[in-house]
Amino acid sequence: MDYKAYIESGKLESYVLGYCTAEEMQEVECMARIFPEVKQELEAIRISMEQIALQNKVEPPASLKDKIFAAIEDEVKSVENTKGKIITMQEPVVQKGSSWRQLAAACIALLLVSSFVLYNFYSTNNNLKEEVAELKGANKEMIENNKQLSDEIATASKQMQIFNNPSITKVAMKGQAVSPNSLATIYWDKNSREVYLSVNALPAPPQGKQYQLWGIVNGAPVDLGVFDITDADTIKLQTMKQVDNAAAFAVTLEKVGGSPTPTLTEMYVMGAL
Amino acid sequence: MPPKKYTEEELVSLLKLQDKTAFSYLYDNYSGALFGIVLKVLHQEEELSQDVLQEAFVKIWRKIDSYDNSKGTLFTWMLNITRNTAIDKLRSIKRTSIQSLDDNVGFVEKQYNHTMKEDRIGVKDVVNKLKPEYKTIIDLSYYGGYTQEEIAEQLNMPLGTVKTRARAALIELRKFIT
Repeated sequence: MDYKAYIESGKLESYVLGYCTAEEMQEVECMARIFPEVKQELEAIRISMEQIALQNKVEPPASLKDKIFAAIEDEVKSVENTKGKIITMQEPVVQKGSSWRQLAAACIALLLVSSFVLYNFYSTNNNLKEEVAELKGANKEMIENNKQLSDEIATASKQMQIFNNPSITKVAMKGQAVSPNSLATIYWDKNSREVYLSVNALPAPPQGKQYQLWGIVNGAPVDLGVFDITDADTIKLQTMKQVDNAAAFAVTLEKVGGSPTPTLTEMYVMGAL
Repeated sequence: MPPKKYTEEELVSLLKLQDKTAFSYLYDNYSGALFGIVLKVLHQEEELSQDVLQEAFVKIWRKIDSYDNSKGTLFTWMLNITRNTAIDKLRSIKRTSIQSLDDNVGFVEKQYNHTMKEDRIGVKDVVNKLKPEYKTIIDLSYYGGYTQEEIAEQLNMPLGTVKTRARAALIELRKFIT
């Protein structure tokens, strides 16, 4: 602020004439500390008021001095009697009151602002937590899907390898008298002796029964393992026991865990090379 | 009693120690100026003014510890205490007698004529040398304790005019003094 404008504002006169508020008084005193020119002007006004008072002096009656000193004597006595109790109340109370109010107002404002900020943080934080939880769930689902797809791809590519392998012999096993519509396929690798079974159509086995695969080697049945009926919708090759020089493959219904020799009356499918 | 001279610093230090000789010196040197102000605020009511001057000196004695020389001279500090004590008394009288400001303005005008008599008996008041419109402002504010807002309302003039006149009045007063 321009101190000249401040000097001309009339505030210094208000200060000296005594009609400004406690805050305005502080302001004037502050300006006087900062600007020597303001201080000078204030001094000049003060000196003029002092001069006016000196020029207008009226000597009080001589008797008043004794009276006043007697009053001060009383004051000294009452201070001694109530030592520690004398507190100049009025002036500080006004200032404390206003600064207390300012402080309180500032405090309340600060409290409101900080509560608002905290609330914002809190609700934003909650929203973020919810979003994170959602994303975690979605992510887990995606990982599971991914794993499932990977497994399926692995299975499919393994099957592709088998189908494309030139040393693989495919044997279709057709439905027999027990179940004419049944169908299953053998993929047999003559080099590695691996036997893969694909069930195209077989009725679900009754309780306590399980299908068993046989290889006919040199006219005799050789156990190639038991198997369960898997989901008919997916082409799934089941790896069975290895075999050499098989002439034919057949599936019979046996007791769970299989039998040492096939029950020929329960032959469901059969196919020869 | 041989006349003693103190610097203001010495005087303040001694007063803070409740030195009665220093207080006596203070009284002898400043009671006239302070009494002049009290009389002016209380419309020359002699007895009332004596009571108020006594009250003011007791306050000066009691509050000397709170005097801060960085905020002004000891004299100005005493002037303010005395003037405020007188104005408080004026207000309390007005509250009891329900005297309006209009009456006060009238009183101030009467006092203007009265001052002519005072001049004859040797009391010179530089405030009386001011233009009437400036004098009224000084009388109502400095000697009457009215706020600028109250003065503007009662004299039926804009607040800005009151402020301008207060400043102009003080600038004029300074010319008379120097």
